[in-house]
Amino acid sequence: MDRPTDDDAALMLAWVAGDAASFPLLYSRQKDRLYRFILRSVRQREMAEEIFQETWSRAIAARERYQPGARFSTWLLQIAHNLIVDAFRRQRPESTGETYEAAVASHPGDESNQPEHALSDFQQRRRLQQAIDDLPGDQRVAFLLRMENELTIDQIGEVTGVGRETAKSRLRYAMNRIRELMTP
Amino acid sequence: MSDQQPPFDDEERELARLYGKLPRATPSPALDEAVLRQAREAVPATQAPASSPKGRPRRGLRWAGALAVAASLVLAANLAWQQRQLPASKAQLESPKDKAETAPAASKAASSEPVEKKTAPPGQAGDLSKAERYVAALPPPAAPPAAAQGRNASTALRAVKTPPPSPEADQALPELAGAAPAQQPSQSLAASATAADAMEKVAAPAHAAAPAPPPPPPPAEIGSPPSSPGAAPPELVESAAPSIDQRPALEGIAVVAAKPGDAGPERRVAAIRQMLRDGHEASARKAYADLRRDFPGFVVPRDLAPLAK
Repeated sequence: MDRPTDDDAALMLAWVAGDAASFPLLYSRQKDRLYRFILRSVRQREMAEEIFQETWSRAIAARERYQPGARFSTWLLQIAHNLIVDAFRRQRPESTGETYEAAVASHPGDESNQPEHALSDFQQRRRLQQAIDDLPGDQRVAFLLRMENELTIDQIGEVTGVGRETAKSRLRYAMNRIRELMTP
Repeated sequence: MSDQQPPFDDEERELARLYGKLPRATPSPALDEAVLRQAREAVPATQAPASSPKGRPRRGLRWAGALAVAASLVLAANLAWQQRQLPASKAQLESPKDKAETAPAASKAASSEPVEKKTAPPGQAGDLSKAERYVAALPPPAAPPAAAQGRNASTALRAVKTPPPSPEADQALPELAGAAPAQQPSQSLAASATAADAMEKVAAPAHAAAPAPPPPPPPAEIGSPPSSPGAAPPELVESAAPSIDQRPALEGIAVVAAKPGDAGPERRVAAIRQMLRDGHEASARKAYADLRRDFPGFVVPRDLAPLAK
């Protein structure tokens, strides 16, 4: 998977400057991580697609205000996080594990070739999936930003709009909760 | 992916490995296309500021175009204004009253004063300036509108300053070309008297050759030759019928010579001579006194000097 680097900021600036070919490359480097972060945050495919598209729409609309000092992925995740929070605030009933299970079931995972390992991995993934779904929203977001997008504590705080200690605390609670749920 | 990420500690690394085995959902192709299309639609809006170096000149060209249009309008209005003034001057010149009064004399004036200026060869620009000063030295006999007078005077001066050399005119008045150097020593009225004498030399044959004042010729006093072939010497006819190039100069001079409601001094001199020829000396003396009164600066020809006694 492509890692967002400062090259993404350069691509964004090039696109803003008129290089139309920079955007498809930038999009291809960012879309998968962003989409999974959104999907695992809201756990509804339809809402995830809506937020995903809206995130890019806002990034396109706010291209002139983009500051190259910040990582592009952080900026993009910040937009997405704000939309996720808005979606939570609309009090749409969170999907049960069944909805998300159905969503992820359509995407094949990296199955091991060995049947015993496949069963074990399937069970572990199911537990992990359940553990993530059971996390409180803030902790889930922090965990996803760390696992999916590999952000640091500072970057998590930047994306979620909280201080470093708050971000660190959320992530620590999320990790402990996941470990507890993963333990048979 | 987690293998390439150093920031994970041991506990995180195990979770990251397990997390990496979760199904990797990706956006649908339709979603990809929607986002990319939106980006493409935004590209022109993005390229507009990027191409501002091109856009600014366009805006500047727009301003320059507007300025050019405004300048053209001002120029056109100025030309139209001048076009309106020229016909007014012509109408003033060709008014029926002037035609009736100045028909003989106007042709004479047109054939004397303008010719005086036109007949000087190109090399005698100084003579032309003398003649110009002579014309300018003539006091205004009547009180025409000051603006019109100034306008006409400027027109006349302009016309005099740029007379096209005319071979016919050179042939018509060789005396003036010879007399012109006599004017150079002095620029006083005495010197202009010499010029007036020279004018009289030129004008006299016209009167002598004209047996009777012909009926007022149509606007032709300036622009067309007399209808009677024997009315004037051929050279004067040629002078009175200027070419297109000569016409502006004649018009300019005529404006100075013929004032509205005014019998010019030359015409009065001609009338006085006619009176003397007819034997009306008393009338001639009275007309002479009127001439001196109306034109105190006019240099009276020597043949009329006895009337002053």
